[in-house]
Amino acid sequence: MSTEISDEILGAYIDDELDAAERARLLERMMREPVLAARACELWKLKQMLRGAYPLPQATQAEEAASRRASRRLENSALARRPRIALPALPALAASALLALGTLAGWFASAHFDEERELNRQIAEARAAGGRILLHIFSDAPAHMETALAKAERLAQERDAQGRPLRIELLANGPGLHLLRAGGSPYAERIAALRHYDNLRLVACREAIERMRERGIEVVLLPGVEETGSAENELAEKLTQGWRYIQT
Amino acid sequence: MSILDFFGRSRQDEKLLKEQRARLWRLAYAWCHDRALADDLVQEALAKAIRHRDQLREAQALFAWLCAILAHCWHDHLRSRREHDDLESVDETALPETLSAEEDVAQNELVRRVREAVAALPPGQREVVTLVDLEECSYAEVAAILEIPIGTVMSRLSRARAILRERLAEPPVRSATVHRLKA
Repeated sequence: MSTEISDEILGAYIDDELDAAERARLLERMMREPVLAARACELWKLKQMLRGAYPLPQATQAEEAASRRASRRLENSALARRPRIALPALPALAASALLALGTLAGWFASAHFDEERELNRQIAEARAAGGRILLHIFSDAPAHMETALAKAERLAQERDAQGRPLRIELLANGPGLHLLRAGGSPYAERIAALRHYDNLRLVACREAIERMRERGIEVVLLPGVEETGSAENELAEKLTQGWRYIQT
Repeated sequence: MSILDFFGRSRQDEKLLKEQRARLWRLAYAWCHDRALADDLVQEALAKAIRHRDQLREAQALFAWLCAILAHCWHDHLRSRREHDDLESVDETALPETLSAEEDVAQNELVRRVREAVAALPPGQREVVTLVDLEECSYAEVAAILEIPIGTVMSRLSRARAILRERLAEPPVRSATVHRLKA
């Protein structure tokens, strides 16, 4: 009588972890022993059930859903507080914009405490590493723009261990470029206010500007915004120099 | 996403990274069964990946490397939860949250039962079985990702499957009366 085949070996069979000779031996035994074959079949079914229970989310759907969840957290949160948002004085505020603001409100209210803790941790990290922070925005979602601005405003006022202001760079590329566009940014006034901080630079990716122009969008940067060749190179360079990275 | 832009130098890279992000999210969700937490874990893992990108040796190993970082973030979370929560609430948070109406598949009774059974596994077993079954990682890859010996991978996997088989063989119970699902 052959030895008992363990669940581990059967599992290794369905996970394709056996070598050719082991697999052949096992298959041969399964032909002769229906109970063994049934056990393998059970394991295989279990594997398929697990796979079926966790379908892969579509990348874009997953991001949209994440945004909706952030919004929903506001409704569920007993700690919901009034978000610090200046309503843009646009006459034609479409329903979609209201929705975006809702998302933004949710984002701020619910994630506020976690974000605050996380930001404090990042500031402490930056203080210990030369006091330089790169804030990166690659999105034109109002929630992301708002977060980037709020962080920039906060970080610009922070000081390192020696009492010197932290050095901050707000880098925009991709759709995030809209934040720094004259006539396109919903936050032009706040960007203008940021210029009062000598320790903060506003930087736009030239490749992103060119791509936007190719699509027929006129790009004029807000006053005080500098250009860099490519955001990727800027990121790589700054990170190599020991800047701390914060994504928004 | 900034991370995609950071790693993705070409359109093809970008597509690949978007897929990998979706896979990371699915894995994070299968570990924590909390959508918002899965969002946070993935974001944290990707931010860490940017900060520690020097550690990545080969581009082909990107996904396994991201999984390893995600596992670290998840373990950090488990540790902090143990520090801050009492035992009763740990049990409750292990249950999957109510499935959202936007997912047809999640309406399925079987899906709910499988997720509950997975959520009830000890974290170590849950991690191994999801990496093997969902992500089709080899045992060697799982061992590297979770920093455990291959023997441990096999024994955890085998125990996890035995428990799942037993739980899923039980006749279905009416969840509303038995389980307290997160709102």
